[in-house]
Amino acid sequence: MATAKWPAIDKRTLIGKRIDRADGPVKAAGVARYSFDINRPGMLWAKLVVSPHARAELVSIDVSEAASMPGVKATWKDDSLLGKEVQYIGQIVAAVAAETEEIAQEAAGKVKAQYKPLAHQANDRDPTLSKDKPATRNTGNVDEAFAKADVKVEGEYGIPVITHCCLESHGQVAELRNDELHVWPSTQAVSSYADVSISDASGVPRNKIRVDCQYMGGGFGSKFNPGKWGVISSALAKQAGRPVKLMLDRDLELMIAGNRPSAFAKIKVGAMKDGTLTAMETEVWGTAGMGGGVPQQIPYVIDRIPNVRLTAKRIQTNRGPAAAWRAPNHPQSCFLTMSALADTAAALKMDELEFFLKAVQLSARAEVYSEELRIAADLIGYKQKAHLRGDPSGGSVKRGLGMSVHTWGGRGHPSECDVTINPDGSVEAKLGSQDLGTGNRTVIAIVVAETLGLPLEAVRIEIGRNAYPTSGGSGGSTTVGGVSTSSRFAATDALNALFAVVAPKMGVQPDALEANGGYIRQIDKPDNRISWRNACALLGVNSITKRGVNVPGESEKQGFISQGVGGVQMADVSVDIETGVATINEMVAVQDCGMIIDLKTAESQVYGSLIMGVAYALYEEAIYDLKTGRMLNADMEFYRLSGLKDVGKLKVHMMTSKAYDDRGIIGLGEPPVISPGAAIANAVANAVGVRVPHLPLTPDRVIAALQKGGII
Amino acid sequence: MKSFEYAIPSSLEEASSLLAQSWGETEILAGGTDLVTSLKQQVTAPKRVVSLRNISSLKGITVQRQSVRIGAMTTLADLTANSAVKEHFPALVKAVQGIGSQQIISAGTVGGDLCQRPRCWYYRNGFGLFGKQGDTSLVLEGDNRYHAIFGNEGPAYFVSASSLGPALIALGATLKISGTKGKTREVAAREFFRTPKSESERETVLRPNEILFEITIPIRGLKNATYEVRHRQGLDWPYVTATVSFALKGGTASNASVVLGHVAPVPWPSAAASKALNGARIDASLAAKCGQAATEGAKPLSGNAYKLQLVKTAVKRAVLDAAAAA
Amino acid sequence: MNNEETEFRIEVPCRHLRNKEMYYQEHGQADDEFSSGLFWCGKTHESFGPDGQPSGKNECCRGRSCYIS
Ligand SMILES: Cc1cc2nc3c(=O)[nH]c(=O)nc-3n(C[C@H](O)[C@H](O)[C@H](O)COP(=O)(O)OP(=O)(O)OC[C@H]3O[C@@H](n4cnc5c(N)ncnc54)[C@H](O)[C@@H]3O)c2cc1C
Repeated sequence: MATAKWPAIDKRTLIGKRIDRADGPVKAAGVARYSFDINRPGMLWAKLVVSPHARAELVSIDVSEAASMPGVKATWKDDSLLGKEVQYIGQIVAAVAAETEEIAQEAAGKVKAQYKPLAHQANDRDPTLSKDKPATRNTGNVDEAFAKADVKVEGEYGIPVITHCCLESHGQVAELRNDELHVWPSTQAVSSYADVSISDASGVPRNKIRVDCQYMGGGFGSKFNPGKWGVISSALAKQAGRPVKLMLDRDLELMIAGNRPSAFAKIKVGAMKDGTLTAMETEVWGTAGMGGGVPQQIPYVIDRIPNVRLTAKRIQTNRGPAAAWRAPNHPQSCFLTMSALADTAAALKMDELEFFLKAVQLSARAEVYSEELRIAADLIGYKQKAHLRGDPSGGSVKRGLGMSVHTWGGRGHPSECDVTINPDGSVEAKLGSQDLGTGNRTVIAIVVAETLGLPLEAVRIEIGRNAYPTSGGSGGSTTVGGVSTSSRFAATDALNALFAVVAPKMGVQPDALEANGGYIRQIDKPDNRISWRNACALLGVNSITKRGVNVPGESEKQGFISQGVGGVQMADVSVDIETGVATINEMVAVQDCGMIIDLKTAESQVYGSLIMGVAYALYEEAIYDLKTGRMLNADMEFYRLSGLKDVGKLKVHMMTSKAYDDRGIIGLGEPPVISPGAAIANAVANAVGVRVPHLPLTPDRVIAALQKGGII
Repeated sequence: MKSFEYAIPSSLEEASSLLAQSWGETEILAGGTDLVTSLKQQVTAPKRVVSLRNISSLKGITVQRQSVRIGAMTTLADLTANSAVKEHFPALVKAVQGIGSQQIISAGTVGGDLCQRPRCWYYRNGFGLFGKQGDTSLVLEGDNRYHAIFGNEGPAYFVSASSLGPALIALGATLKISGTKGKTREVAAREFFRTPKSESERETVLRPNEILFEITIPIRGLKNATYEVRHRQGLDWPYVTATVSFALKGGTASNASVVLGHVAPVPWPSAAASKALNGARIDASLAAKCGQAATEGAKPLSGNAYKLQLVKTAVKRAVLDAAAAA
Repeated sequence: MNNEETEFRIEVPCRHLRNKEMYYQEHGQADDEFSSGLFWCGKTHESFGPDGQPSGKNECCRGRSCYIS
């Protein structure tokens, strides 16, 4: 009998190998259809009307002129906002649907909304603007520890609001057909997408809402719920009796569809001459728009510093709302902590690697980080290249190394999966999961094919529909653990059901069988075998379908999945001190994530993270005009992402030895994006000899720091 | 985008006659890489768009003994592929390459680059050419990190976006302009740009119904180079550019011209830097002196003093690059 | 533990309160170092409720004018 337990490393045929992503070719060829590409017969285009004021009372909304424009088929307005306040520029107040995108745009311009402007607050740099009672944390005796410390190192650091900038914007196509609502959203949560708000908007109960998301162009934590755009497009589709496409334009995507909170901090570190960390005091502030909080995981990873004090102050601003951004709070906490620690090493005139090797002893995974730090150092050529802070060589281009460590949870989510074996030998797995571009489809196919002893092509993976068994949303790096386990369980049960049919014909007990290389065979007498095709023919006319259910707590106890990873990253940068231009020579990422299903897509996750990390370290920043509250760079011209030429050489090393493998599966979507900002900022400091305290490390900021430090 | 009438005339004269007398009513379309964005953002909402695409005389490059003539509709890609341009005007080639995007270089035209509108984010966000809210200059009170450090007496604080402008000025180019009824006139590249004083003016000497149709660059055997301070390697804007050109005999420079880009509402010729070059032996310390001279008279706004350092470096490096060129 | 306390501890938050952890964690919301701390209102799809006040697990409770159990 087949058991669900993960096969031993030497028995695996697909799991852990480097396997191309299943949907690579259709994506490369442009055949994969994203929500944006869905065009339904008779479809209308919707455009939004938004507040031009950062704060105002909404007095009235008049859609009559827009509604009477030729080609306009439906309008929507938010009467519940009348007499109330709009709280940021871009807040949606109305919408129109029309025959073409252009008509819709023009009609949206004819909606008359009247406002009474009110004073707004858009500044996130000044902690005194916080109106809340600060959150505090206190361990040990900080004052005493500082009094005894050999050195006290103080610094101020900051990481601004950035956006998700999903290349496919938020939105959906909605269509009411035969009492059913069909939606094609760009979402990270297919199974739970059809919530009460779109049900209310369309008048269709959840059991008649059909969600379909086969491909999506990035969510990064911002695409769990239908959003107001989901609600509005459903309402417009109902009103018009025609399908409606509502996808955000780039400016709104950047302004209102989520962003990562800022975090600024004053940090004081106390340490002994030998690098022993004794105290850390932090005042941190920042904004998440009107809601949310402030990143508070400081000290980050090195969290066993005995004496710690933290004060966190949230600043409410009239700006677009924050949304979870890949590893919420961690990149900020990491950048703030690691910057302060590297500054401490510099103050002690200590080699940074030696310092961090010591510092990670104050973490929950001292051994993992120590090993990873050594591997990363080898990969980047640390010994050959390292110098104390400030590149001593002449010339205007200074080179430096920096490092950072990070952690994440990543325990698999609840997931249900049906695996069907058909009499013709074909196999399919169905689950209401989604592939955000991560390789989820590929991973499920690998697990099912491995379990059934079949080649990858033999299994068909059906995901992206809420009609399939419920599977968790893709957040918290939980998908790979969830879907691998549920599909493993389902495939194992289905295989055992097939064994039960085949065993009598082969003259053995079912538990004497295994599936391997396209055959079902007797484990201790492999010549006694039957081809997969013939075995399935024995099913007659009936398929076998089995449901696998991942209950995270149980699977974790049984070793299928786990949580808690460690990663180390190092950056090698060059900085032209006459122009302030910082460039990446190389990034090295060393990452553990337990047992790996597909080494290639796992590495790709890390490469992607590094690219995203270079972007927020060097270029990305949502720039707000304080006087108007407007985001000034809500475009992809001045909202800069990194291009291929900007990212330097990227090296990824996954920890794959048996000890890591034995832990079971752990998610990887988030951890590798946590460290790049810190590692790059530390490398720049190491190169130029002074700290550039605020990300992104643009020429203006680098030059200001160089001038302040008397370097130029 | 608001609906508009679309015209594709096949002669310059016809094109001029389709253009209105006042700005904003009609717009000229060349490659569209700038105009279409403005139309979409409704920064401009003309009643008619007049495409120059079918006017064949506007395309192509003619190389003569003493000059190179470039039709305004020549794409930036064709410009940089021309061997005479490559040989004589490396400063121009560098300025185009800096744009960093093959798509824009393939679609964008020389005329379009020179006539493109400012990228000031207040302007592009609907606060008018001068970025004002009521009487307040949002630029002065707000985020002006990319704005002007020279020629910023107001109300214009934006920077001229064209990288070709400074290069053409330094190379002594002449621009030909056609008006209604086949009338044409010529202006030196240096005179082409101007700082608008009111919302009803634009950034060049063109009248609303005039068309830039040709650019002539004299071949004078000048050493020339452009240095751009850029952060990203792909499609992006430079922070500051400098083009220099000078004659070099026995290590000594004459006839020098130093023109800065992205520092003022117009390309900014630096008389002080040119003066520092003329008659001097070119070496590293002279180049640095020249860079320092180029910052003379700058008046940074609240958030762009860092550009002074960039001007120094860009000029210094352009001088050295030009001198080192074969 | 008396009944009042028990009642208090099991009070249901507003049915429109959302946070992303609900979408992939077994019990909706774990309060750990990996939670985002970000909440939104499923009614307004904003980070604030119909009354204009911020959403949050301490905010969206019985007694608030827009609360729905
Ligand atoms: C992200 C980004 C980065 C860029 N970086 C750079 C850079 O570094 N350096 C640089 O120089 N440019 C840069 N560009 C701008 C680009 O070079 C211009 O968009 C392009 O050159 C415009 O040419 P076009 O033919 O497409 O002009 P169009 O968009 O067709 O026209 C631009 C403007 O010029 C007018 N116009 C066009 N032709 C004529 C004519 N013959 N007579 C009169 N008026 C005319 C039009 O009415 C319009 O107002 C960048 C653009 C982007 C989007």
